[in-house]
Amino acid sequence: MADKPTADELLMEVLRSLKEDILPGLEGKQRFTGLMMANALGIARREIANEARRSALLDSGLSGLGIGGPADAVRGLRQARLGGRQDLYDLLLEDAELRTAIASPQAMKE
Amino acid sequence: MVVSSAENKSSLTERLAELELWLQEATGAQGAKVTSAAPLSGGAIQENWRLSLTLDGGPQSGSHEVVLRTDAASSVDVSLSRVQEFALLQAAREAGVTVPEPLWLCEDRKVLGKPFYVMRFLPGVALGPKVVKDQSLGGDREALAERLGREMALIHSIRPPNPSLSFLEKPKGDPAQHAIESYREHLDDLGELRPAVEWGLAWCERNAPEASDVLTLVHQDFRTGNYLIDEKGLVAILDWEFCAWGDPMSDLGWFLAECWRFGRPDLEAGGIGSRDAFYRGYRAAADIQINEEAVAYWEVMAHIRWAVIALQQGARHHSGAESSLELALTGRLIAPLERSILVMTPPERWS
Repeated sequence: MADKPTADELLMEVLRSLKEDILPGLEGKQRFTGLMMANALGIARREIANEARRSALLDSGLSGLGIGGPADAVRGLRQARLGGRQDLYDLLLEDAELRTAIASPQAMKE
Repeated sequence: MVVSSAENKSSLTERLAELELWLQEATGAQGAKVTSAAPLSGGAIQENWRLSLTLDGGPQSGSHEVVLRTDAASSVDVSLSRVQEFALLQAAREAGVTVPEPLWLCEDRKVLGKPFYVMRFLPGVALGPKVVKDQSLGGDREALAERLGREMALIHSIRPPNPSLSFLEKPKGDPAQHAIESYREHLDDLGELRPAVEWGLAWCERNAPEASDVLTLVHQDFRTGNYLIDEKGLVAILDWEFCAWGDPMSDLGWFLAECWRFGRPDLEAGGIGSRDAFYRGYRAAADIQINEEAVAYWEVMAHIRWAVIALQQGARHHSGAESSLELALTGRLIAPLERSILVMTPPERWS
C-alpha cells in the first residue's frame, strides 16, 4: 500500500498552495515566474498520470508498422519511403495528441 | 546615476565613465551624463538597457530616453551582430518602415568591451499574449493588421544588391530546400529523433512551391510579439537580428502561422485581425504579388521552424548550459507544434 499523500496528491497540494496562497501576492516578473511554475507542475502531474501509455505508444506503434523505431522512421521519411503513409500518419498524430494533452491541453481546443 | 537593481551590475554600469565620454564625442556635446540605467527584459540573446541621458551642448543638446543594445553573455549563432543590426535599422528607416530611430553605433571594444548601438526609446507593449488579449491597445485591430501588411511590404522593397547590407546571406539554391536541409541539420546537431517534424519536412520537400521571382530582405521574425503598440496603434517593428535575403512569401507565412496567434486562432493575422486586412495592406504597398498557395506552404514551414527553435531553447536548459524554467517550458511546446504540423499535412494533402 502506498504512503499517503501520494506523489500526485503532493503535487496537487503544491499547485493549490501556489495558486491560492502565493500567486495572488505576486506581481511583475515574480508573478510570471509563479505562473510558469504552475504550468510546469500541471505538465508534471499529467505526464506522471499518462507515463505508461505515452512511453510505449510510439515505439510499439512503429514496430507494429514494420518500422524499427524513431531512427528508422526518420531515415525512411528523409529517403521519401514513408511520407504520406496513412497508418504512420495516424500513429504520429495519436502520439502528438497524447503529448499535447499533457504539455498544453488548451492547444487541443484550438 | 540610478541603477535599478544592485545585482544588475554589468560591463555597462562598470564602464559608465567610458560610455559617457564616448557619447560626448559621438554627439558633439560638451558633456554627456547617464542619469539612470535599467535593464530591459527580453534579452536572452541581446542585452538591452534603457538609459536616461543628458547631453550638454552640441546639435542634440537636452534630455534623451534611449535604449542601448549589446550582446548578452550567451548569444545565438544565427543572429546578426549589433553592427549589422544597426545597418538594418538604418536601411529599414530609409525604406519607410516604422522602426526605433537608430542614433549612434560604437564598434570600439575599448568602450564597453563589445560593440553596441543606441536607439531612441519608444514606449509601448510587445508581449504577444497581451497584444492579442488587451483590446485597449493597438487601436482599431483591422487597421492594425492592414498597417502591419504595409510595413512588411516596405521591408520587402529592400532588395539586393545593397552595399550597406552586403553582410546578409543569400539562400543557397531554392529557399525552401535550403530551409529543409538546415532544419534537418539542426535536428541532427541536437540529437533529436522527431518523426512528426520529419513528416512535415518530407511534406515540404515534396510540395515546395515555385520560389518567388524576386529576392527581398526578409525580416524572418515578423510576428505578434515582435512589434510594439500603444493605445492608438503601431509604434515600431522590432527584433531585426534574423534578417536575410530570401523569399518574401516566407515572411507572410511566419506572420500568419497559427502558432503565433496566442489563443485566437480565428484571427489569422497574428491573433489581432483578419488575413484579408493584412493582405490588403501588403498589396497596397508592395510591387510583388501575394502567392497564397506559397504563403500556406510557408505557414507549415513556420511551425517546423518554431518546433526546431523550441527544441534548441529547451536544450539550452536541459544541457545544463543555462538553467531556466522559461527555456524548459519552451522545449515542451514541441508536442502542440508537432500536432499542428501533422494536422496541416494529412496524407490527402500530399501531391
